[in-house]
Amino acid sequence: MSELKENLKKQLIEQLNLEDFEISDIADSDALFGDDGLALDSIDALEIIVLLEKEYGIKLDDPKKGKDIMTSVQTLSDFIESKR
Amino acid sequence: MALYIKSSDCISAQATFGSYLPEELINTDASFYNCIKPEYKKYISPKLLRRMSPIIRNGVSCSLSALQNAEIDNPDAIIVGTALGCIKDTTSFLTQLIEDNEALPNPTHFIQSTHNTIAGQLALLLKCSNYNFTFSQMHNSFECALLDAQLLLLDNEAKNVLVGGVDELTETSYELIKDLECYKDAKLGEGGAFFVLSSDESEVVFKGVSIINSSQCDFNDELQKYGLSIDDIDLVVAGDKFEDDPSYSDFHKTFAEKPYLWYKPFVGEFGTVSSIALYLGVKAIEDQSIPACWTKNKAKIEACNNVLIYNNVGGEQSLMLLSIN
Amino acid sequence: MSDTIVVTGIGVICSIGTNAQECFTSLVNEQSGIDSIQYLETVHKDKFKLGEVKRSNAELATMLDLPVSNVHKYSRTALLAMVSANEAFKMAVSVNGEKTTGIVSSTTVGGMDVTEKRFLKETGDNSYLQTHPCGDSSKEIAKYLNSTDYYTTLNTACSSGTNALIHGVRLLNHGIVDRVVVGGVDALTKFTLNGFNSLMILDEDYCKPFDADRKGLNLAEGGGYLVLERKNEVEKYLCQLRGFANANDAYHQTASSPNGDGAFKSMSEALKMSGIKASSIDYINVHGTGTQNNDLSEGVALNRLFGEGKVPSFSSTKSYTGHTLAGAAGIEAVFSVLSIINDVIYPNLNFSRPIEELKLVPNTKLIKNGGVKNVMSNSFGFGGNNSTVIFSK
Repeated sequence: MSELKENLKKQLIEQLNLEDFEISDIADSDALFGDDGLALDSIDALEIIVLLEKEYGIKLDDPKKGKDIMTSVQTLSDFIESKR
Repeated sequence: MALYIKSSDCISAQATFGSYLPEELINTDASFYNCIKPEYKKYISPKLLRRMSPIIRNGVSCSLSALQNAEIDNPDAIIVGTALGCIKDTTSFLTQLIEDNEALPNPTHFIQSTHNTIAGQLALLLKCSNYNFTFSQMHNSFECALLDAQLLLLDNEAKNVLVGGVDELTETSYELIKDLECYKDAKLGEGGAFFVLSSDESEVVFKGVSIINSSQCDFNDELQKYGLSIDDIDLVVAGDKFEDDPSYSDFHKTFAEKPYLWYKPFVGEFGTVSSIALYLGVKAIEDQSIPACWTKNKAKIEACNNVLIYNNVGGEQSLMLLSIN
Repeated sequence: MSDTIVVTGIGVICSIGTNAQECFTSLVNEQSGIDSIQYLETVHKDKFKLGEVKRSNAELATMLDLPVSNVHKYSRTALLAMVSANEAFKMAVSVNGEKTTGIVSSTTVGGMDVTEKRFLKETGDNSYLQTHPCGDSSKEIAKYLNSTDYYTTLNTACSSGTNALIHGVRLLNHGIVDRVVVGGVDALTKFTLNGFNSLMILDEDYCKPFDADRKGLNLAEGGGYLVLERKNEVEKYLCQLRGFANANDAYHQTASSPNGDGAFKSMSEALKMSGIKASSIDYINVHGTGTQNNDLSEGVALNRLFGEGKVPSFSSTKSYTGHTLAGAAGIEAVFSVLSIINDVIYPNLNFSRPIEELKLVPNTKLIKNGGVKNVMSNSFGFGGNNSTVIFSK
């Protein structure tokens, strides 16, 4: 697992208070939203936007654009890499 | 029309979710009381629980427990009283805001800081689209919620109303509020109680609630409104914070010889603590006795038919009356 | 409702005026009060526009004949509440005399304007927190109006003011008081500005309620109050209160459901109580915050209730005042009463293109003498809280 993805998982667990999750519980391709996977919701999406800005200095002004970026840990890390 | 307390439950420093009052009090040396935590996961899914501050967890789980006790899935109304609301999320958001000079505070704290988050989360959990109110009037927050529930039932707009009061105390909020004039010399606490108030007949009759916003209170007059006299009262549940609490000197003159239950020295003082007082009154009628450790004097309880619950914090006074059916 | 309840007084202060007459003049002249930030101290000063009340706290105290040297004892919320509640109260007393008077107010953040200035400043003196609780401003109204009767405060977020009205009606119907001052108030704070910013629902430009290109709301401050009494006990009144309802969307903590279920329920139940046919509603003062989510959801509910193409004239006066949170329902109730007694329907500002899915066009030109008899006002809030009230001539 890449360091970036591992960090992302750790940050998601902390920031979203995913108390019952360990880093190893989250696969890179697991869906973040929807009924399967982590089953996050729109409040979590806002928190991820804050996380991206605070931890990675990436500003996402339009929450609608976040949909594709926030599909999984993989897509999130791809997005961050592309901005580096 | 008579109204009844169909079920009740409480979260406090002495007892949480029980069918009886503890025979022994838990003494705590801490500077304030935190309540005994129930097993939240029995009531709330981890997905929702992860965002909930203590007041939301406590209010929601206590409500769900009271509803279970009454075997009601969906109440006709949800009415909550809270004096300070979601103070933990409020102080978290404020702290971030100030320390980071308004740069990116976390939205979750803001979302969960609104006073009506408890009632709103209950509506979500129960898929309950009915009447949903939250009152916040300092030490009468619970009483105002109770009055609204009473009027709603009397208007025949509801048969079963979930009503309660809840507040939270954290290390941060304790440091903030402990020096306020109204809490001088009081041990502070947190918790609350929820009830199903109903027009369906059951054991405990809810006679009503009176809210008095002046330094005076004529107890005889107030009791007469409910067709009762001072002689009829078998037990008082009073909010004295300590021995010889000056706010209660008039009350003592009238009721000191009656069987006298007090609770604030054991669960702490807070805005909606009178909800716990009502819970204690309900238990006293159901059990026809109270454990000795809760009584302030040695007066013996013969029969517990009429209970007067009285609270006074800085002139915000309330009386609640219960009778046996 | 058991007794017929009437409105005998109105009072309002917001970004478009410091009393009902001033606000009415701004509404008919299409003058918005939303502007760049003058009073609120915030790092976002140059970024956002707000609906500020153009008066300092000292000026508000002077309006109330309170000594300016004591102004620090009050939150801005309490000052705004006292100004607007007093206007409504004085109007009712001048026509119908003195009576036992209850106060049912509402606010979402209480004295946060004071708290956020002093919080974390190591002074060791926490007495500023006296004004923090929501109940503080209601107590101050009661003190200012010399009322020793019942007072209380609701906080159901942005629907609060209508719920205060509903509780007030119950107090009248059960004879607990003979007159009740109902409404809501909120002052602008960094807390709410940053809160709504973190939800990404603030428009940096002027808000565009019900427009396809709407980007969010403009945050604002103000207070609005009505005096209610029983009809058979008054000499004169402004209009009747015909119906109301509160319902819960039970969909999401902050967002409204795509079908507008909560809004549909509160509007239909209020209509049912009023005994008025949907087709007899002449004007709807919509909640219309200008956010993507609210306007779509509210619009869907309007189409469901009235039928597509049959929705009555409607507008969002938040395009003038901004969103005053707990103040909104009280202020918009006052505007609804003014719409009836002056027979006007206000235009919705900043509208150019209807929302694709709705095909709903708000009223964009002032309508005079169209025969306004029945007005509906919507107020929705966090926690899925939806309320509707109906006034009639």
